[in-house]
This record gives sequence, structure tokens and C-alpha cells, in this order.
Amino acid sequence: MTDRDAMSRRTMLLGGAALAGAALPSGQRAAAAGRAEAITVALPGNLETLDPHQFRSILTGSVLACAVETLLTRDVATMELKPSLATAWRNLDPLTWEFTLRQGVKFHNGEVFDARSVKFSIERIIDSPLNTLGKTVWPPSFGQSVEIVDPYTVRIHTRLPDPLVPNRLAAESLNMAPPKALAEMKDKYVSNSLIGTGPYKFAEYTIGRQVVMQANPDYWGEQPATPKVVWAIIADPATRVAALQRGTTDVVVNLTYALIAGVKQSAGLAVYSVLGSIIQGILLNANQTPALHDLRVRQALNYAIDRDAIINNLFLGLGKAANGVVASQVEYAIDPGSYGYHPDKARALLAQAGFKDGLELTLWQSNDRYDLGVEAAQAIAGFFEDVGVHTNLQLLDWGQFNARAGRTQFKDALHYGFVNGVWDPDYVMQRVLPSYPTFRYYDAPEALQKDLQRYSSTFDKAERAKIAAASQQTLHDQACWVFLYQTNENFGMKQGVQGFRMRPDHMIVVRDAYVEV
Amino acid sequence: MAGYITRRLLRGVLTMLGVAVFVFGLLLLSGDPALIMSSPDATPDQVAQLRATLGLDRPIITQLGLYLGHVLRGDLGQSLRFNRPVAGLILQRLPDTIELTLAGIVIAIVIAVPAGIVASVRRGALLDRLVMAGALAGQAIPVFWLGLILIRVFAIDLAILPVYGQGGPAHLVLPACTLATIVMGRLARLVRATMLDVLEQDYMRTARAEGLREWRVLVVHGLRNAAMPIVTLLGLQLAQLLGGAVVTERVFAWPGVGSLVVEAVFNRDFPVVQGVTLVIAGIFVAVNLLVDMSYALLDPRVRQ
Repeated sequence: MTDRDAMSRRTMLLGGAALAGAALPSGQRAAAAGRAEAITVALPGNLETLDPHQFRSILTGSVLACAVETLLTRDVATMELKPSLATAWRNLDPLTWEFTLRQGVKFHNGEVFDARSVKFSIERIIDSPLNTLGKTVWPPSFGQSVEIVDPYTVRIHTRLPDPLVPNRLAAESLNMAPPKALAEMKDKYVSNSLIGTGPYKFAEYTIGRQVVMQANPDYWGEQPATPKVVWAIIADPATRVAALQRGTTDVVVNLTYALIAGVKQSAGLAVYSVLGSIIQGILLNANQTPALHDLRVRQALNYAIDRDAIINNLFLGLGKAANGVVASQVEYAIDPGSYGYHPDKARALLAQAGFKDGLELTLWQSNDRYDLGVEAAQAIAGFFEDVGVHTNLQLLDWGQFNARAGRTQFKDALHYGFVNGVWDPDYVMQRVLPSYPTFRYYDAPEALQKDLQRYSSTFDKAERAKIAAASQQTLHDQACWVFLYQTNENFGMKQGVQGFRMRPDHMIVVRDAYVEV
Repeated sequence: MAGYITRRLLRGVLTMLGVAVFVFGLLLLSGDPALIMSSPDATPDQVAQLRATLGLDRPIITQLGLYLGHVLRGDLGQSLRFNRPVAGLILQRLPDTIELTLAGIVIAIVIAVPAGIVASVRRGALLDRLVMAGALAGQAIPVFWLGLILIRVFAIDLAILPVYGQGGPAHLVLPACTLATIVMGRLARLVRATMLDVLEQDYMRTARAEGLREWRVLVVHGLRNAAMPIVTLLGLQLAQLLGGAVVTERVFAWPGVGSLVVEAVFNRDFPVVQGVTLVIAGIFVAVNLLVDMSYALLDPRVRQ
């Protein structure tokens, strides 16, 4: 496989040329550096919306992020927090954070970005009746409010202590929007325009056809590497690859496993594969299924699965086994150790738990969410059968599946994958607290509940690391899920494409991407 | 004649009313749309708010009345995914689907009608067998498979046609040919069968006896008399072609109503699904009306 690492030698060699051209407008820069004037990226579907706050999918978030920006951002490779529209931030007390804003920034419509923009945007995300993604990343129960100290300083107050405010403000759903242009749209969704401060200006969105972004000549930061980005909408995965083989697209998103070999064998094409941070597991309904309330049964199910066999044979080796509830790249994640593949141990534990003659379980899976998700569920059911757990596999389409999953409407077991919206173990670990409103399948023991509550209000980094590690270890030992794996995100691209990156949180970053000509 | 058309028109309006009520009922059968559309992390308050926004908290009969009233005014609701009026979304993409469908049906007619005539004239000969084998294959091949094979051969290996999307007549060739195969096989077989029947009629022998050229005998006397079942089939097939366009549009990333409705189904965008169903049903009813009226043109006995 031709893994195209974030710092390929070629990229490093071109780094000097890129710096030399940084002061030039994007078009001249492209011409000077022997790059194409446009890059075309094929998407599997339409954007959900152009509203900077309403979308749900990471793909839509990635496209919008060309034009709109957040106060903080994250490093493409390391995920370290970095300044964006805020240049500095500090914690004043457990209930107050202060952010210094970047000066001289203008929205694409000419409005000045300042403290009023921050106040308007956060209020639109948190306080409006809109069903924004930001409310999931930063629940209104924190009681957020924005105080304007001066035009370029804001203080964010919360009713509950929140050490993760900077993390939340770096999430792609906390975009900054222009208060004057959206004055009438505070409580309404925006559907036909996209105004931000980003390196690209929104140029066109024809539903079913394409989204076009043009470089913003007045951008406050470095000009993007390519003057124009075209996001072509091609629903069929084989057609996306055909377009890549023909040369009409430069990059293909969501390259399915079945098509990877074809891309690798095509002259002039390469596969870019990055480990994703969606942590996949089988959620066990310990609260409603008596057998799963027994720790030995949950552990047995963990011992029963050969994760490496699934990853190597089904996912072509493009992934890694997961041992806990937090993806390995996330801050404060630990590796709590592997259960390994031990069917004999699984049988023994089941026998000890009183299921020597077998156990019957229903496993729910979505039939259209993950590439090869159904095949993986079939393999898992096979491993369960092998240790005497008769598994009844049930499939549902993603819309129904997701609605029922969150509302705890599945008995026994379901396959699920969690993204990490704030890049902290807190995002997933909160879900084992009985007070958490959704996914009520497993409740943590009381001691762990106290630790998790303490963790949510602990600011000291060393202390956070300590509590996070202990909590992840307990959840692993308690076998709250059947831990499965993290799989790679795969892209097909022309070999001449440079600088196209996926951040470990699945955000696609194109501002440094270009096609060599 | 006027009474015939009026009766057909009235029947069409009643059918559309039935479709509208049925489409509304489908929404109710699919469960609580507000629950399905909310994120799994949404609180009950957020779900209730969405339910109120969608008007789903009102009595069903009120919802139905409002829905029919809006439909009559041409308001098909607001897309939940795109936050744009459904009628606008459909109108924006319907011309593309109609363009593709008409191109498909024209290709089917141009190929299948002469092939069917030739097969009937050469009944039992090698040519007849070849045409019928081709027709059978055309009916049996799955559209998505054929589409991908055509892309492979003509867009990648030969590189003479575009892979996907729109942009000119060249972009239309592969999707239209793919779509045409849905109709072509059936049409060729029907033309052959009806022509075989017509060829044995006395008036054909008389036409030949008058010394008319063979093509004139076949087309003017033969095909015209075989036209009614063929027109009926084409009318019925138009609806199937619109359905087939769903798959074809997806394979060729053709931005028509078919790809719109597939995405709407996946995303639970109920107003779009309802709107497209209504519009396609409307087209179906209208085409059938035209077919009925064409009988009157083709056969003077219907006019009486």
C-alpha cells in the first residue's frame, strides 16, 4: 500500500518553495510553483447544509471549514490546540475563560470579526432553538454566556466548571459567523450562503452536482495552496474511482475496501490511508439483559473475538484493534491491555456464569453505515457462536438504527462507533454515567461514577491524566463494551496530489493541497 | 371525444388525490419523523421542539388538510436536509431527469422498432434469433452493472466519453444508452409479436398486390396498425424509465430527481420523498392521459 504520510519527502522538499511563494496571491502562487489552478475532490453525497452550525457529518464540516473558522484549531498531524481566530486563551477561574481575539480579520462580506461575532455565534449555537451540532459538543446545561470585555477580548462564563472550553471551541461545529449578515437568521437555518473568515470563499453549491470554493485574497493567514477547490458529488463509489482513473477528479473520499486494489493497480494513482479515531465496539445492554449484567459474560464476549483476524481479512489490515473506549490518538488515552483471542477462556467464563449450555443474544447492526459493517457483524456473530453464544443478527438502516441506539431501544447488543467531539476521554466516558440522557446500556460502578464526575471538573492536567487513565482501565476491566477496533479512512488520489490531509478526528484539510502539473 | 377526454381527466385528478392521501399516510406509517431526524443525543425537549416545528403535534386530520391545501398551492413543503422548498429542488432537477428519460426512450425506439420489424419479417432466421437473444439480454442485464461496464469501456479504456455528470451531449450518451436497455428488449419483442400478427392480415397482402414498395407496406400499413400496443407499452415504460433513472442517475452522478430521492430516503428527508412521489405519479397520470388520447388519433373507432 502506498501510504502517503503527512510529511512525505516530496512535501518536505517543496516546503521551501511553498514558503517562498507565501506572499503571492493564491493563483500566482499556483502558477509559480507548477501547480494546477484547481483541485477536485469527489464526495459521496451532498452537503447537509450551508449553515455553519447545523450540519452533523464530518464531511460537511470539512467542506464548510474551507470558508468558516473557529476560535481555536488543531494541528493536522498531532491534534495539538493552536490559535486561529483567537490568538491566546487562559483560564481565570473554574467558571471563566478569557480569549484574546485576532485583529484585522474580516468576514467575506466585509464585516469585521470581533467580540460581537463571538457572542453572536455562541448564542446562535447554544441559546437558539436551532438543532445545532454544537449543543452536542457543548451541552447548554453548562450554562455558557459570553461577556465582551473589549472589542478583541471575550470572557466565557459557565455555571458548571468546564476545563474543556478550549477543546469545545476548537470543534468544527463552533464556527464563527458574521452577526450583521445573519442578524435575521439567528433562529433560522441558512440555506443559500456561507460567509466566514476562512481561506476560501464560497462560490457555488449546486445540489447533486458540486460545491465550489475560491481562494479568499483578503485572508488573514497564508494563502491556500490551490486557488480553487471543487467538491464534486458522486454517490456511487465505483464511479468515483472511475472518475479518478479517467483523471476528472484528483481525490476520492470514502474509497471502499473492494476498490482499494483497483486504485493501487492503476498507473499514476495512490491510496492515502489514515487511522481514524472512531472507536468501534459492541455496546452491551447490561442494564436490561440479565446475562450481560454478569461481568464474566461481558469478559467472555471480549475473549471470544479475534479482532486481528477481522482487521486483516476483512479490512485489509487497514486498522488496529481497540482495547478501550477511547481512541488511541485522543489526549489522555491509554492502552489498558488486550483481552486477546482466547475462546477457551470465554467458554470457561460462560460456564462459571451458568451458561455452560449456551446463551442467546441479539446483535443489532446498521446495514449502511460502515463499509463492510454487516460482514464484520457476521464475523463477530460467528466468533460468538464458536464459544456457545447463539447470536441473532438484526440489521436496520442507519436512520432507524441511530435513532433507536441513542434512546436505548436495543436489548442485548449493538455495534456502534463513537467519534470524539472534544478530543478528550470525557466525551465517551460520560456515557457510562446513569445521569447521561442517552445510550443507557451500561452504568459504571459507583466509585468510577465519582471519578468521572471529578474528572469533568478537574483543571489540573496531571490530575486529569491520572483520573483518565484509571477510569479507562476500570472500564476495560469491567468490559463495559466488547472492544473492537479503529479502522482507517481511505482515499484514492492522483500521485501528483500533495498536501491533502485527514486529521485524526476525520476532518479533511485541503488548504495545503495542490496537484502538481 | 370531449366526453372521453373529460372522463379521463377526472379519473386522473381522482388518482392524484388518492396518491396525495397515500403519500401523507406513508409518513405516518414510518414512525415519528421527529425522533428519526433528531440526533441520538437530542433531549426530549429538542425532539418536542422539532415535532412542533414540523407541525406533527397537531391532529392527523388537520395535518392532512393542511398538507392537501399546500399541495394544491404547489407548496410541497421544506426539505429537512437542505432547508429549501421541495418544489424548487424538484423543479431544479426534473428537467435533467426528463432529458435523460427522453433520450433513453428515443434511443430505445430508434433501435428496438427497426430491430423488431426486421425480426418479424425474417421470422425464424438467424437475424431473428440474434435480435431476440439481444432483447432477452437487454431485459436481463442489471442497469447498474451495465452502467459500470459502459464507463469502464467507453470512459476509461477508450476515453471517448465522460465518466459522470453533465456538461453537453457527450455526457448524455452513456446514461441514456444504459437507461434505454430497460425498454429496448421489451419493445423489440412487442414490435416483433404485433408485426407478426399484422403481417398475416389481408390488407397487407392487398398493399403488396397494389405494387407498393416493401418498406412502405411495413411502415405505413404494418407499423401503423401495430402502433396501439406499442404506444401503450411506451407510456407504461415511461414510468419504469423514471424509476430506472434512480439507478442510472446514481451510477453516472446525473443530478436528476432520481439521485435526489435516493439521498432523501437515506437521510429521512420525508418532504422530498413525498414531493418526488407526487410529481412522478403526476407525470405517470399525465402520460397515461396522453396515451389514452393518442388512441383516439390512431384509431378512428375510439373517437366514435
